[in-house]
Amino acid sequence: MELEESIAEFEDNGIGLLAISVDAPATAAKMVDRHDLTYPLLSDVDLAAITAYDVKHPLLNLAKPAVFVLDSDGVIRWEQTGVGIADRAPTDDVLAAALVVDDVDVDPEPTPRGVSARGKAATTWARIKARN
Amino acid sequence: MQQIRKALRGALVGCLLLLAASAGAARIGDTAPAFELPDSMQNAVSLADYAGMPVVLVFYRGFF
Repeated sequence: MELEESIAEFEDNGIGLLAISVDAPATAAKMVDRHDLTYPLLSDVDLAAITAYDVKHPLLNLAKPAVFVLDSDGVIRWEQTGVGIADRAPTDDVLAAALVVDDVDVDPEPTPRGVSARGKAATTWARIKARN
Repeated sequence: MQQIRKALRGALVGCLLLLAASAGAARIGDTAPAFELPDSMQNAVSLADYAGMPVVLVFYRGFF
């Protein structure tokens, strides 16, 4: 998992990282072992969090690839939901957003239909950079 | 006329239901919905455990 390579960056900067899927804890445990993961893989078998964050796959009982960045007050400041199953915002962009999440207001601009998470992440980040 | 009124009322109720459904979704600017879920060691982990720091939530498809 690409995220694991950047985990130190998250930890060093006091950013919590949680991964959530419908996998049972036993399946998650295999992933943790296989990839030496140091962040928790949470098991949302009942789709409780997946539904609460509105990231359920339209047809299947599993999560769409999605990333949320919360500030220190627990407010959602950045969000990317993938269009396809492997469409996830690049880790660098997620980290970049997390690093400034307590300082900068990210415009809650809606993404036009059909724009990929990758494309959306790039525009959001460009906007943050332009402001600083 | 009454039928039209009934249809309109139905459409209105439908719209309200849709609005209510989408209002439940997590959006930028909203307080993140709380959750408590087991990790791979069966320990309960809640979002509240991470209060006071930025948190990145990554939803993934899973491997079953």
